[in-house]
This record gives sequence, C-alpha cells and structure tokens, in this order.
Amino acid sequence: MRLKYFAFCLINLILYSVVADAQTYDDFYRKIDLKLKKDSSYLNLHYVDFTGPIALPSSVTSLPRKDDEPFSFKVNETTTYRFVFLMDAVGVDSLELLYIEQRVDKSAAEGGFFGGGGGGPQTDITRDFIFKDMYDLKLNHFDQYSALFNKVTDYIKKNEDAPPEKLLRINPDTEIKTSLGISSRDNTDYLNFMRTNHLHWYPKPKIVAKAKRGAALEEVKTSFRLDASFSQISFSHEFMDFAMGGASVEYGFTEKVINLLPYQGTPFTAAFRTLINISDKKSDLNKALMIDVKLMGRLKLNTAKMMSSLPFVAADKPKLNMGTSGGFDVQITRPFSLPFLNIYLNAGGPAFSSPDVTVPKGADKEAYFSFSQAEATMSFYWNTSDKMTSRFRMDVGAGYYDIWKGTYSGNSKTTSQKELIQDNFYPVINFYFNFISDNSEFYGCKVRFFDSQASLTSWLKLVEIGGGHIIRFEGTYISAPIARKLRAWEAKDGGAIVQLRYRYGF
Amino acid sequence: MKKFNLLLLVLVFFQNGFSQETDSNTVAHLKKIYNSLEYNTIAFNDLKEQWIINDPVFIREIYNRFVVRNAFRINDKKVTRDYIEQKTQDIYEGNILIEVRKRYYDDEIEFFAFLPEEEINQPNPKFTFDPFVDGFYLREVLNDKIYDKVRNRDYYYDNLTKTDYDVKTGYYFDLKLNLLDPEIMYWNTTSNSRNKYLLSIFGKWGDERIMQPGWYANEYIVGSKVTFFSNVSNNPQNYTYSVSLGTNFPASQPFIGTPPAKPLYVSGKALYVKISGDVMKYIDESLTDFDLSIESKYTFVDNTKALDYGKYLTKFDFYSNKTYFIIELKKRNLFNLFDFGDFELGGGIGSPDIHHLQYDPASAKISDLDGTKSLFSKFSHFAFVDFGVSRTGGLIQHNLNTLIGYNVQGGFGYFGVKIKVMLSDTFGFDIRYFNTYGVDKKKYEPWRYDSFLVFSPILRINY
Repeated sequence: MRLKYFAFCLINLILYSVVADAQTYDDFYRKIDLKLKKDSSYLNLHYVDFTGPIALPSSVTSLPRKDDEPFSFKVNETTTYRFVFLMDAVGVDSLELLYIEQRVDKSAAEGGFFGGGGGGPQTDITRDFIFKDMYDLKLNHFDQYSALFNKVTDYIKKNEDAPPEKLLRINPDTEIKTSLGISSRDNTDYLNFMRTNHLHWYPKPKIVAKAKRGAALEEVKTSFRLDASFSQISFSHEFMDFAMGGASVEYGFTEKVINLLPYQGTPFTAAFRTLINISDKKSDLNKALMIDVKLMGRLKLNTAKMMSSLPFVAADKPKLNMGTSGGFDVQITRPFSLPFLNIYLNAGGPAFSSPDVTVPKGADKEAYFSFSQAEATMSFYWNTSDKMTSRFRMDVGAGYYDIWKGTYSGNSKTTSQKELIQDNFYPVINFYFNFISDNSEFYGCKVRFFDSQASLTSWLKLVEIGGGHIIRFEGTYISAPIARKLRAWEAKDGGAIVQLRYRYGF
Repeated sequence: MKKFNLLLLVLVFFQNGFSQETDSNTVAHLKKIYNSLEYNTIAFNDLKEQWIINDPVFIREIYNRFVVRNAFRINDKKVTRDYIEQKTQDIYEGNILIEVRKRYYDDEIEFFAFLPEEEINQPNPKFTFDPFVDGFYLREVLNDKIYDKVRNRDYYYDNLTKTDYDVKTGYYFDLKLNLLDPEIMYWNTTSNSRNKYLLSIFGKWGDERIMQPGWYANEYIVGSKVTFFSNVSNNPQNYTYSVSLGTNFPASQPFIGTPPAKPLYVSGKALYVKISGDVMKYIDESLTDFDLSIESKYTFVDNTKALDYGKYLTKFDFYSNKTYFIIELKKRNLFNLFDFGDFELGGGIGSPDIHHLQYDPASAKISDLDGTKSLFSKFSHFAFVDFGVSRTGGLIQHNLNTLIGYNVQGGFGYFGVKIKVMLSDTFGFDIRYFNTYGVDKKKYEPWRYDSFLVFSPILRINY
C-alpha cells in the first residue's frame, strides 16, 4: 500500500514537473518571439536571403508548426525566404536558426493599370515560421532542422567574402564615446581645421561611390577658389596645382603678430603661397608631411587716412608705422612626431624717413616703427568626440616684435634721433573653436593672448548656396592692454572690425 | 509483484531524472538565446542611465500589473500565491523599490527589478523576483502608458547614473597652462613599450620656498624638461625622475602695487637646473612615494645694456638674486583622508644669495656695493615645511597645502597657504597667499614685501 502511495506521489511530481517545464518553455518562446517582432534596433542577428526555387531536401519542403498547419516553401521567382539566425553569441556554441520570414515582391507580380510601382511598400512580409516553431523543430524534428541549418551554413561558407547581413540598426561604430574626446594621430584634425579656417585652399577628398566595403576617395576638382573679405583676399586656380601640391596668391591689410586690427598697421601685404605634400600617395593627405609656405612682401602704405572712411572699422587711428619688408609664414605637419609647427618671420630695413603717422612732441614730432616681427608656435588639436562636431586647436609659443622711436625736428622728414624702445619676446596663446554640424561648418572663434592683450575673432555662416558659395559674418575685437600701461604707440581702448567673408570652392 | 513495481518505479524515477536534466538544459539554452538577441553592451553597464523608483503609489501600480499578468518569476518559474501575498505585505510597508536601467544606444529599458530597500547598492543584491531584462516584454506587462511613464521618469526617483570623471594621463600631448608654472608636453617616446620619456617646455615664475612667489619675482624661467615613467601610469605623480634645464628672462610684475624703492632686478643670464624623482625606493623598496628634488639657479653672464634695466639714464642701485639652491623631500600619500585626499608632508632648505649692485649706464658697468662681503655671506638660508592634502581623480582635484618657513639670518618667518583646485582636471585656479612674521623692520631688506598674493587660472588639455 505504501509503495502504491509512493508511486502515486512520484507520478504526480513527474506530471507537475512536465507541466512546469512546458510553462517555462512557453514563457521563453513568447518572450523571444515578442522581442524578435518588436525590437527594431538592438537585435544582433544575421540573415541570409534565398530567392526563387530553393534547393532543399524533400523532407523540408513542408515543416511542422507547433500551433498551426505545416509550413511549405513556395517555389516562385518573386518570393524570398529570409533565414534569421544567431551567431557568435556568448555561451551559444553554434549558429542558431531563429525564424523564417517570407518576403513577396509585389511590384513584379502586380503590374496594375498604370504599370504598377506606385507609392507604398512593394514587398509583403510575413513571418510564418516563428521561433517557437523553429525551436520545436530542433527539439522534435531534428533532421528537418538540420537540413535548414546546413542550407544556411553552406551558404555562409560559400560566401566567405560577404559575411551575412545584420539586423542591427544601431551603429556602435559611429557612436564611440571616450572619456575626454579624441585627438587624431595623423593630419585629420589639421586638415579639418585648415579647410574650415585657412585663407588658402586645401585639397579635400570627396566620397564618390559608396561601396559595400569602404568607400573610394577622390579629390575634389574645382576650377578656382576664392576667399575674400573686406581686409584680405586669396585666389587660386587649378592651373596653379601641381603634382605635389598647389599654389595661390593673397593680398591684404592684416598684421599677424602685433595686436593691430586690419588697416591699423600700415602695410599692404602680397603673398605667394605653396602647399607641398610629401607622401607615398598623393591622395593620402592624412599621413603626408605637408609644408604650407607663404612668401610675403610688404609695402609701406598710409592706411591712417583710409581708416576714418571705413565704416566697418571702429578703432583709433594707427600710431605705428610698419615699413616695407619681406618674410615667410610656414606651417609644417608633425615633423619627427613633433607637434604641428608654425614659424613666421617678417623683417625689413630701418626706414625712418617720411613716416606716415607721427605724434606731435612740442615743436618736434615723434614716430614709432616696427620693422621686424616673428612668431613660433606649436599647434595642438582635439575634438570632444569622434563625430568631430566641436573642434579645438591651441597654439602655444612665443612672439617677438621690435619698436623703434624716431624723433623729427620741425617739419623734417628725416630722423634726428633713433631709439630702440622695445625688443622683447612674449608668450603667445591662440585658442580656436569650430562648431561643425552634419559636416557643415557653422561657427568658429579664435581667442589670442599676446603681450597682455586679448583679441577675439568670431565668425558665423550666414548663407551657403549650392555649388560651394559660402558667406560668413566675421568680427574681430582687440582689447586694451590688461595689467600693464598703454604704450605711446598703442591705440586707446582696443578696437573692432566687422566684415563679410565670401568663400568659393573650399 | 512487489519487485516488479519497485523496478518500474526506479525506471520511471531515472527516466524522469534524465528528462528533467534534459529539460533544464533546454531551458538554460533558451535563456542563453533570449539573453543573446541584443547587441551586448555589458562594458557600459555602469555608465548607462539607471535609477531607483521610490514613488510608493507608482510602485503599487506597477506591482499590480505584474500580479494581474502573472508575470512574476523566480528562477524562471511562476511564483506561488502565498509568496505574492507575503511580498505584497512588503509593498504595503514601502520596503520594495524598483531598480531600472536604460540601454546604452537608445531609450529602451534593459533592466527592471523589484528589490528590498536594504539590497540597494549591495554588490550582489537579492532581488524579490527575477529581473526583467527585456523592455519589450516589460512593455507588454505594464502596457504602453506605464512603460513610457517609467522611461520618462515622471515620478519620484533617485538617480544612480554614474558620471565618470577621473584623471587620465594621455601621452600624446599635455598642455598645463598655469601662469605660475606652465608645462607643455609635446613629444614622447618609449624604449620598451612600457616606459615613457616625455619632453616638455616648462615655465616657472618665482618660488615661495625662498620667499619670492610668482609675480613678486621679476624673472621667468623657461626651459626644457625630460620626465621618465618606468611604467605608464594614470597618475602623473607616479613619475620616476625628471630633469629640467632652463634659463631666465625678465618679467613684468602685475597687480603688486607700488614697487620698492630699491627693487630686486634680474642682473644677468642664468642657468636653471632641477632634478627630481622618487629616489628613496632605491635605498629601500618600502620607501615609496618620496619625492626628492634638488634645484638651482646660477647667473653666469651679467647684463650690461641699459635697456635690460628699464629707462635709467643715471647710476642706480638695486638688488639681485643671482644664485639659489633648494633641496626638498616630500612624502606623498602619507595617510588617506577619504574623499578629502591623501595627506602629504615635505620639508627642505632654500638658500638664495642677494647682491646689492649699482649700474652705471655711462660706462655700461655693474659694481657690487657689498664687495667686501664674502660670497658665502651673501647667502641667506630658509628652512621650510610644506604639508597638506592632495586629491587626484574624481570630479574635483585639489592640492591644499600650508607652507611655513623661517629665514635663519634675518630672524623672521613666513607662512601661508597654497590652494590649487581643478574641475575634471581641465579647468581650475591656483591661489597662493603668504604673510611674514617676526619681522624687524630695521633689518628687513628694502626689496622685500610683507605679504604676497599670487593666483593664476589653470587650463589643462591632455590627450
């Protein structure tokens, strides 16, 4: 009797455990099918498509389904069967078939009165063989599951060069986050910066064809490029390009080292610029050693009279004469793994006679001159993320300029006394910021600290017209000296200039 | 018959045992498939948005949805009515909270678990029921409206999202822009892929250990520095040794008011040398985190041009510090003060010489007004102690130090604080304030100040 009672309990326990396990299976089937149906972005699954008659063993032309009639493969040219599977998952040893989706191309089958192909979806998608059916097939009809499994794995082996497509819709490769942003180890940041800010044109690669595996790059070819504002202009034409780079010309009224606004110094600058790329491949600019050289000539020009009639300049008249001179401005990309280097030198002879700007001193006059300026800086680039929407650059180095004082008796135009009153190096820091949205430049600014003065240059894109025409609004403000007294040759209260800048072909 | 029945039972038992094992394997396999469907972002778990739902009424609302849908599971099995009733009592008493975590790349929920209040922040919390690891199933249980309410956090909750700030030393470039002691690391190399040689340009404005803090010292030392790390480290203090070589340049003195009648001037071109390192461990391996530094400035060429001294056209007197030696030993990480940082203690000796000079522009010559004094007697000696706390890593980094010094010859002392605070190791400020004590005005040199305040903003860019 006892034994019978024990047997009864045991059989009940067995039945309960079978029911419980069945419930657990159903739980997982339901959850998995729900997730496969609803999750449109995160599924890390692969698929292969078979279109037209599929060569399958006769045993699988009809597959049993758990809660429905058997599923049969249709044999026609307009039907595609998508086999979705899990592969390379942690803890899942082999490829796991998950479901089969039937995709019927309606556009081919239904011509319609006007030839078909109107708006709306052209493919009917049904998921007739769901995970529950597939896993049941694996558990209870393994031969049939195995035939499908082999069909998929054979396809993958035969197409090793083209791995199966993914259902994953998020793109972790473009959303890489780092703790502090990134700084490229090649010329990427340098080129990005120069293409956005530099007065002269830099070669720009363009994606011409999007292949499945990477993209072919080709250099953009435009016939000419122009950058013009109220204070300077640069121009280049494709006939000025050469095998290892290109050339361009520039004219302007700007001063690079001394804290002076355009027209506030008194030179007119003309420059010839060449860009030389030294690399194995011309197209591989990111790895090239690039040398951007500008040879300059400066002519003494009386801009003091001009300034008062320029409505876009708000500053005192200049008090400093800048003589006729010549120089160079060189930028080199990471020689010997050093930072990006910038070297500027402008030097001229001591031309004290006939100064354009003088300061009365009793019956006599004084004039202040700067004949030589130099600056050497190292540039560092970084971005807040790999999307490179916020781009930064900092130049750190030293600048130099001389200041001479000439004294003129009465109306004499030749100096009676010359004196070097300033002959110092000062630290210089330039900080740049560019905001680029969707690969389109939008805003930029530069803050420069030199010789106890700060200058701010800021631009905002106003208009971008197809074909490469861009108009920017740009302004520069130079502060009064900070933490030191105003020098005799300096303008009071700093000054500002606002201007429009037109760029074409950049 | 009995034997036959027994044999049948044994067979049924083993068959059932085997079947159960097969079933549990199948369930485990199904679970693996279920957990592998999503793109795995386990490495970001601690950086994903996560929070605790604290709103007791909203928790009841959610709990009730689970009860109605019979969605609670423990070890993948449905729970009993008794267990639900027992846990419902905890819900009444407000002892059950809900932990929620969002996915990394989108806005869906990837983790949702009921847990007792005392299990919050435990390393391996015991959840009340099996956690939900799938937002789409959760949406089905809760319905769209409540699911969206959970996602949008329109209720009372505690944010647990980790915002990760830490000091990370990059070796590509490192710009430390501080007016008082800037450093620009611009080149690096390695000899075995584990160590690092870093080449920097450095600046140094004054030195409070010899009572010439930046601003009050009218010279700026600029030079080049090599720093060696025997093992690449995330803590810049863990360098092995560094060697600095530089020279001096005259500097203006902003914000210090009226200068003394006989100021301290730069009187020549000097060579600056500093060697520092964690050298005590070579004496005994247990002596770690000791920072020994020896530095010196030596003027080897006198200035003779009038422009070097400003606009003086006639003879004038001034003072000049041509040479100094400083030796300091500092012990870092002496003991930990928790979030406040690590205590450090240092001390040393600083010996500057002071020359009383006169410049004659007419003859472009410098004469020593204390010519009768021996070279050694021109040196004065400072003994100093420097202690405070230093914290690296975290959102805010700081060095809060007190410096106390005493001039042996002059019989006076000075004391003050050095405060350096950085936010996320990027922006910050450096303030140093010192005051003198025990000063005998008759003996006090005319170029010295009574108190010193120097500060500088700091910007650090490191990749």
